[in-house]
Amino acid sequence: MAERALKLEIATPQRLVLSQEVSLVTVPGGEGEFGVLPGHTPFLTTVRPGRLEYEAQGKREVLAVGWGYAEVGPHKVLILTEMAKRPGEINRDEVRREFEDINRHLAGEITPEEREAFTKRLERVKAQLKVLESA
Amino acid sequence: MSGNLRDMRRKIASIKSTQKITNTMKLVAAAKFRRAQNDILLLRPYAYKMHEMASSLALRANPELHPLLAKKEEKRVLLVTVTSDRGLCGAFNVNILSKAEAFCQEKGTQGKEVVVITVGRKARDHFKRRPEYRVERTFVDFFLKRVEYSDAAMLAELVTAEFVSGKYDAVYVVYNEFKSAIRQEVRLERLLPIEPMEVREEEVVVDFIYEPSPQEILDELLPLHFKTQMYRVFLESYASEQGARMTAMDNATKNAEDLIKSLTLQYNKARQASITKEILEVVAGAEALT
Repeated sequence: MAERALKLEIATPQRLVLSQEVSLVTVPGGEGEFGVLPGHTPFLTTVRPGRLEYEAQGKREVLAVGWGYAEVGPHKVLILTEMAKRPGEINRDEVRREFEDINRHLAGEITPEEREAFTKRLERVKAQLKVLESA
Repeated sequence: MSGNLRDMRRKIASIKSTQKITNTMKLVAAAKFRRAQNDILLLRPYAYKMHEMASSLALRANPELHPLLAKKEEKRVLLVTVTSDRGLCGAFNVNILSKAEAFCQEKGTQGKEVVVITVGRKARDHFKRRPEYRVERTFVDFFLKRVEYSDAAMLAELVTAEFVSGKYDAVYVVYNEFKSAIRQEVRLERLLPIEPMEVREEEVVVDFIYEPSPQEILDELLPLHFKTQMYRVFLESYASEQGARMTAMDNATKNAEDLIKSLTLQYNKARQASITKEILEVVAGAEALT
């Protein structure tokens, strides 16, 4: 049982991004980054925007993820998030523009609710930029 | 005789104009259907996975941690009945409404009280004529244009609040699940309290480690789960409705075609018969003179 692999599944409201056997996953959790190997204790946590890494058949892959939830079991990692993009799916210019756009808004006069929404978006954009740089 | 012919001509013209309408409705439904099908097929994996996470949670967590997990004895139940706003979609609404009535009666004979929330004009109009069912609230016009997530979320929040306050012990929903353009299936599901996942007996069930606290995660995740399921139900119903209308209008167009053909044939026969009769009269008249 112990060597049975880990099934990683990532779903967003737009599509099922990934459903695959992996040997290792690193997730940007709400309370800090955590790594999962097969046989992990059941674990439920939030996901914050950042870099998700997994290893499948000896190859390392990276994804940029947004806000969401993660359920970890001995043989599964299920991630529900608003966004999950591979480096190839991120448009650098577009993300840069969004980054500047949000910063402009944050520098101006906005309500606290707007500030919170923009800050959340900023985190998501930063996650994408981080993944691009490291890829 | 000529009056009869004129009536037939009028009848054919009227069927032709009906056919034009049904054909246009078919095309409109087809366009809406493609978009609706796309929407539901894209959302499904997320909604199913969300359901998986929530039911796994319901299995492991202490039900006292969150009111949406708390299983109570069913005394008062809520049934959310999802129909369309517009008609002309075949048996789409009839199937839902008869299932809803059967459910109310079944629960009624078990001594349980059923309260109904209707979504869609068809359900509202149906129950308006049947005061023996207790309709608590009606919602209409969710399905006139594209289904909005905010509508589903609003209804979900309202139902959640009432469920938490103890007004109902369980929440059921009856809707058409989308199968294909020509097929939909009536589904009756219990959405609240959240059903624990089924496990094989030998499996040991351990509770999760939660980070941050269970309260914080459950307070966000479970309402989000319920909203997502409600949104899925709406999208399922909308795609089914457009498919059903497309099929119904396609049949209507074909039937009109058959009717036009047979009436035209009858009309031509009658016309020929009257011409023949006139000729005979002329010939007979001429013979009489000679």
